[in-house]
Amino acid sequence: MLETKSSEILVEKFLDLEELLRRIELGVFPRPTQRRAVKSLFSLVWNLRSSLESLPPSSSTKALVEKGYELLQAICGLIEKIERSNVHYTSLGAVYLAEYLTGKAGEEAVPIICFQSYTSSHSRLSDILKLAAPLLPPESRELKEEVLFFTLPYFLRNDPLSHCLVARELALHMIESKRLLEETLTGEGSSNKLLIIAADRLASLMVGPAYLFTLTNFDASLASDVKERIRNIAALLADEGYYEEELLSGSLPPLEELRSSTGIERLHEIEESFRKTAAYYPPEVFECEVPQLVSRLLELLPPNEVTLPDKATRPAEIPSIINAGWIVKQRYMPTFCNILKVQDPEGKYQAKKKLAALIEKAIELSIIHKSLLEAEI
Amino acid sequence: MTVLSKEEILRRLFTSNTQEKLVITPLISKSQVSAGSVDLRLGTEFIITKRTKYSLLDPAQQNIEAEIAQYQEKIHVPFREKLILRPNQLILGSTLEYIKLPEDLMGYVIGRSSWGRLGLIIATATLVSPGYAGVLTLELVNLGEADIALYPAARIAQLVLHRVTGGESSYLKKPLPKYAGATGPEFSKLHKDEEWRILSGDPQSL
Repeated sequence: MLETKSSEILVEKFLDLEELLRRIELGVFPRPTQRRAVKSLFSLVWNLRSSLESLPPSSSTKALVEKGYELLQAICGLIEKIERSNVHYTSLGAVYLAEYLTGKAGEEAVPIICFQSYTSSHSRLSDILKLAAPLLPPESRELKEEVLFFTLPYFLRNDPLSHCLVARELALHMIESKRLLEETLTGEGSSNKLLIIAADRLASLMVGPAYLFTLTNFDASLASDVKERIRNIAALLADEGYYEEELLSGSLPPLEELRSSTGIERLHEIEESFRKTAAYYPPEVFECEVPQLVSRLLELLPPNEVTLPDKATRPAEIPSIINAGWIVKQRYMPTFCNILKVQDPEGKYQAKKKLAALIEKAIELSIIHKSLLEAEI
Repeated sequence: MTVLSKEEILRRLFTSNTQEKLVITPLISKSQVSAGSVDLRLGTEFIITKRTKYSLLDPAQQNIEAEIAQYQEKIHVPFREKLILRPNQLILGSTLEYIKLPEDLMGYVIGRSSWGRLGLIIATATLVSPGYAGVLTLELVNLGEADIALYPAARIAQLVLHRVTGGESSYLKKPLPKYAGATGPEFSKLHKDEEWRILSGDPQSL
């Protein structure tokens, strides 16, 4: 009796979700992806409700209703992410960056970016579908399009330089979905640590020193575990050919050896194969593009293209644009403020906003420029 | 003031002399440069009017900035999508290209005649000051009878460049000029002009 009542309440809640999804679909989003994700969720909710409505009274009902409540919570989480990815809450620069990185990594999943809470995370639409499988008819268990939800800290919305935290979340997704560390991850504590280090290192291979700068800025308190991560990333970037002293402005403790030697060997293997993919951002590209892009920013120009020796120009790579922005922010902010003739704190704040706007503009221009060149307009 | 020829525009675009350098970025194709002007493309950001929130726009009013924000809204139209401009509708757009003029050049933005024949009027405030850096805000009005579809990155306007002789009047010599480094269309900042305090009878300015 209690199970039947509980099941009826759940059906009502799923009806509420259907109404909510119809309303959210009318929002203004930066991409059509959100509408497609809403449609997928709507179909899932509709199927779940139909299953719950036709549940026969039996001993297994209780377990299925409990599963239904678990799903309700998970679906609400995704709906909130979609809602917060509308144009009023999200950042276009972050959308472009996520599309660029997932595209380079050969991911078939389409990204949705939202800014929420204090930490970054990621989730997949297929995870919900897997969870819902026991309540769905077999023909409804297939997903037309995988969606990868990236959640970035809310306070970083207007800071395009820090959006390269997306690289870390993408790395984590790749490690999970391709089961790259499956055999290495054993013990609870050390495996979690290895996963964090692996994601940090792959993110650094995707966007270069910009990831290190982001992490340093994100957690300015520099707790001991963050310091260790920073030291680890700096060591990797130094091995890549970036000048270590340039990367570390403060003194950090020496790199602590990872407990699992099997783990570090596996990491090196993963990194080696990652360097052969299009998602790898090589230091040669950094060296060739970033100094020019820094000069452009110091002339109040967006760092969207680089000039070749024959004076022709080509669109800059997105990681180069972000790295150039970080270098100006870290080293040349007084010069940038002088160009805008501002000295007071309010003026300096406005100058930082100008820098952020130039970076976002450059990311968009680079992508449109590439598309137009490919179409030969 | 002489109008810059195609050859002079190209020379200015590719010169390494920073004093003379003209920047139009990205210049997707050299064919955008023609005799006496450069074709400019439409950007992806627009400011549209919320017709249900019309308000009195009095530049001398103290809360004018909030009034403007109430009745206008920024929107983004992705590349390869379109925005429909209704008859008699005014929207603000911007050039896709980011422009930086040297101190001896100024410019005028004019519409392309092929768009004008459809009823689209572009840029009613056309002066680009010497030394200006940023995208150019375009005031777009549909004076025709039919809706017009606008596509980001379509060639929509022309920049005519003139040489300025005598004296220096660089835009960037002022501290944080009103529209310097603009990366999208900007809301009107008319209220920031000094004269409004006097014209409105503000006792502090008298």
